[in-house]
Amino acid sequence: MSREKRQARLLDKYLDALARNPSAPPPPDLDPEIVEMVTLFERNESQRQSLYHSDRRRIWQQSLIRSTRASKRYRSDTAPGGESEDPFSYMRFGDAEAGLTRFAWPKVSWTLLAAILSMTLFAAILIFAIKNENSPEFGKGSSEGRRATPSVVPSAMPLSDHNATVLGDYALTIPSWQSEPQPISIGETVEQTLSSEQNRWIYVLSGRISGTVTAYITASEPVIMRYRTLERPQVGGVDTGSVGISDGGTGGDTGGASEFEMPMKVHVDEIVRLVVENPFPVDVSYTLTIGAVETPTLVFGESYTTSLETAPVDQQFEFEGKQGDLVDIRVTAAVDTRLTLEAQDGTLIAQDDDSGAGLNPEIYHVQLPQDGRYTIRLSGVGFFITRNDDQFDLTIDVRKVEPITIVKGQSLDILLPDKQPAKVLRYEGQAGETVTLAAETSYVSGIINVEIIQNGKTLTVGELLPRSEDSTGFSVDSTLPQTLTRTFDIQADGDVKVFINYSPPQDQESLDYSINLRVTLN
Amino acid sequence: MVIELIQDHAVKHSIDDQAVLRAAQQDVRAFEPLYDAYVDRIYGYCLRRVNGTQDAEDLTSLVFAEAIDGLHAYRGGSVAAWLFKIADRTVKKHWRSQREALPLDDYELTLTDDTPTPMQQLLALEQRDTLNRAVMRLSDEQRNILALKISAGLSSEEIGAVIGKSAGAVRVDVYRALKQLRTLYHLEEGKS
Repeated sequence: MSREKRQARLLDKYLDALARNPSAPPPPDLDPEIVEMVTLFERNESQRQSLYHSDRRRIWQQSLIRSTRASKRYRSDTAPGGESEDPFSYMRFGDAEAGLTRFAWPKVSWTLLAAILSMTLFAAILIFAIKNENSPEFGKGSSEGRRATPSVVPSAMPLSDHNATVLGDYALTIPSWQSEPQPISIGETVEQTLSSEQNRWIYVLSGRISGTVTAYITASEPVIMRYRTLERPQVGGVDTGSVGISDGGTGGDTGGASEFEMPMKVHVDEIVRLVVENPFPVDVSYTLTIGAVETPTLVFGESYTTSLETAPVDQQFEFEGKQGDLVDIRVTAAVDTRLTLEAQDGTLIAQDDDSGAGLNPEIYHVQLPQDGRYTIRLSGVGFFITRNDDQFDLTIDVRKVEPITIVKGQSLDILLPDKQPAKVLRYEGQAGETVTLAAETSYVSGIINVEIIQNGKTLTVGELLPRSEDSTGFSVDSTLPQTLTRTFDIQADGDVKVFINYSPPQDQESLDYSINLRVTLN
Repeated sequence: MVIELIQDHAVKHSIDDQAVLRAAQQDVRAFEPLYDAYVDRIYGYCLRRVNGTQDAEDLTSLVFAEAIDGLHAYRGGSVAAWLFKIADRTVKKHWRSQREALPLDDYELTLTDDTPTPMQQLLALEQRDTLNRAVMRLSDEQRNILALKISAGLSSEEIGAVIGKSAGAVRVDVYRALKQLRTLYHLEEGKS
């Protein structure tokens, strides 16, 4: 075999290993300059390939719209690189299936139908209102209650402005005295004065927020707060429908300070428009604070169950961890979810989609890199599965894993099944000793990786190599059972952790397997 | 290592691609798990072959639209190879419609939150810029094969099925493309 072919083969194996394991070690004989170029290319790719969940949804919608199976109407061969004219290009992901049906009908029919329905409804309401106004029953009960509690809305302000159906438009309209919404962030406090003329102020809350955020306000007179969420990053463009309004229960009484809070539900792909209004013809000064995201704190070993009303899922949890803690995270939900684990500084520690039972994600034996608070994000994946509008339970477990103790000179049998192909052993090391880890197995496909860590420092990392391996690194001993070994030096007295995991060959990734290993330390 | 394994698990396709595709042939709604499994790789592939994220997203949606439309034409074999063959064809069609050379200096460079300091961000951007310029100087075939191998993570056998070559020839082509890229990268480094 020529040198080029041998190098090409080594490179191929390395790239395949990288596709399975982003930091798989390169074969020792592979040209270091090629390795350097691969590393550079890989790093570049990993930075380029991130798609937000909203991007994935949008692309999927576009695919459905462009597919002739969905609709011939919106198919465009000239679309790449050009402006999309699809009227439903920002259609909600969950609406896509409905969109398939919608496209099959002439558009004018829907418009006509909507117009007829609106007119009929309007006429019915009008007739009902006129009849009730003249009715002797009118004025008893409800109307008295209504009149007894004056509205917080001054007569000068059209009632329709306070109707939930137009709340979004109102929140989106930037008043002439404000050039743009004032940015505000989590934990920030701002002060502002409103007059009867300049009677509202708009804020925009951005950042990757997932959960409930509370706006706290203290004002010299009663005020109203409203919010509306918008899909990121089309600021001011897409309405995601979440709205809220609060007057702090002042009931519209003037002449007193008010202090209240308004919780706002925010998804990670959204920003928030927050409006503070002065409903009375008096000056009002206020202090507004945006509280921290309210995130449930998980405790090791205790299941946390929450009831969710609608999919898709967008939940965030936190837990306290210490450096070196080994953690398993399991999720059980009736919908497909994706799980990510992030450190306090936002670094991604691990992520998973479907490693758990069914479509549930699971993170198995992750080692925490530092002391601190860790964030677990759960997001819904796929609308066909998550289109369930019913309430469902979501349970999440965070468990600390205790390593299995192994004593020098003794053997230990461990099992690496396909869903949990990793184990952690613990060994009491002595400074200066050289230790050989031997693993006997009857399964020769794939790669068994080890990482030996002491006091947070990696002593050795790489594959367990067959005893009979030749200089090319790819000769496999066909004698079974096969013994794989790795030798390393202990640098200090104390606890040594041995991580062992198994990576199957690429063509066997989807197969069920279970690897038996007899591990010995000598 | 364990973390890497978990990440490996995350990208691993726990779905049976071929079974899902066969189900999708009966009911298009069953196609969605395949979309979830492949969208990042298809997007990465398109991003490496065209200019900018907007075009890449647009092409990605076209690839999946073509895939949905072509479900009946699937006759078995690697789903990855089938999808990337569509992706390859879609990108080529895009280029034919553009009929112009891709500008080298328009590559989208975005500061990411992962790089902690401004200096590191600057260095990473410069390195990325140099690499992108070098990639754009490769031949179309070489860019394609690197995009399929590294950006999309296909095996040499799957790439062979996409471009009509043997796995052995693909391996050598990938090696030569990377060697060429290394030379071009150093040349671009010297320029900057």
